[in-house]
Amino acid sequence: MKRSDIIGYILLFLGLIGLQVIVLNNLDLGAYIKPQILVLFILLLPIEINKSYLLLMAFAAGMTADFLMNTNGLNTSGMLLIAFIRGLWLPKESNPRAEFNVVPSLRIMLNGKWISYILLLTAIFHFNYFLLEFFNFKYIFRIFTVTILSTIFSIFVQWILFKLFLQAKTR
Amino acid sequence: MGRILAFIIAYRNTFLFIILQIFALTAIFRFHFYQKAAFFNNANAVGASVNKTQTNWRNYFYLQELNENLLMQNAALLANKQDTLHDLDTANWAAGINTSNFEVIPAHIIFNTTNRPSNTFVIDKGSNDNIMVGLGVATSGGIAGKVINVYPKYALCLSILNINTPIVMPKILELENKSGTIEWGGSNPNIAKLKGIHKYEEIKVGNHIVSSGYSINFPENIPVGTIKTLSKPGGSMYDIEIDLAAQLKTDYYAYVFKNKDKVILDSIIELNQIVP
Repeated sequence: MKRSDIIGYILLFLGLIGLQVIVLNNLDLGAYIKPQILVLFILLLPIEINKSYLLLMAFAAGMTADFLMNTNGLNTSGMLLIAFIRGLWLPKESNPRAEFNVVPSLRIMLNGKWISYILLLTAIFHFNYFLLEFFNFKYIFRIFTVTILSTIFSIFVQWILFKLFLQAKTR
Repeated sequence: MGRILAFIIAYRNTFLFIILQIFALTAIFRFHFYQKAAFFNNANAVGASVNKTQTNWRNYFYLQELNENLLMQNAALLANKQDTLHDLDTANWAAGINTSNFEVIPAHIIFNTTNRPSNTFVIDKGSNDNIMVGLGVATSGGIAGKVINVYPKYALCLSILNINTPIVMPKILELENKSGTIEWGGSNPNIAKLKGIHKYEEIKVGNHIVSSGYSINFPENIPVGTIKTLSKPGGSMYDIEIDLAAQLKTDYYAYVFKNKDKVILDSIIELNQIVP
């Protein structure tokens, strides 16, 4: 990883956590729309990163978020889960060609495969988050509703971020 | 031995994942089942100072409302010096309650959530000001929550807006000592449900719900809310919705109640293993 990339990822993390804590948590869109966008940090980490480091980074990032938002481990659990399973959607080789299309980096090109990767893992993160937050079978329908609505809103916010900062120059 | 080691090395990431995940889940379940916030919360110094700055900014938007509430409370206190029946509608419950057995500690709410299933808030008084776990907290509107974690300068409180734990045992003021239980639905921060009131009781919309005297953490007669809607479904109980008195979205000033005999009462309860 180049030094500029490391600085880029640190800025990405600070930006995401700032957006989450200062803007999204104060938006108050009601009890059913509670977008969590921090997972984007894990989704964009480069493919060649060692998996143990990835897990430890997810843990540290989640703990920071929980610490600032008083969420008692909800973010940590979700970030770890996503870091653990995201490899299933990524190419195995360490230096894939662009045809694989899902190559996490700070400069990405949106296409169908990317969107399914982002959408699915964001939804899993939200489901894990709200399932553990309610942790009561009485609210199972509610958990699904909140997951779907929050995922949609979260994808919308992520799309704005793509358009503003992360879109690759046309190749 | 070598094979076990090789196995662990081969699956080291899975093991790492499981160990870290257990750490996170422990924190979540400790909070759910024992109301103990473990490692991840911001009532300690660093996190709280971040939140304090943020809340200071946010409060500028609510200054007028806060000042008006305080003004009303002050006016009511001045007008109601006698120990008359208090007027619960004007946020002046302080005039009517008997706090002789309680120490009242003023505090500020510096971090607050209202849109989660189990909400918490942080107040800026802690063990340095004799705050203990379990103490009741009210805002100028009414009952707000109870303390669940204490740090030297700050304390973390579980809000009345949570789906798991009842904070207070309420009663209906107009009906002598008719008590029930409060359940929050998990979505609207202004509305909760009152359960366990039989259909033969004569209650009306607008009746006041206050704290009963059965708690060692709250004085009697602190407002919880007023009855908003009443309906009689199939069973033997009313279906009652109440307007919560505490406006947790905007409230900034809070009062912590400390029973002067709390240590003794707690030890009696613990010695005799009474389940509260």
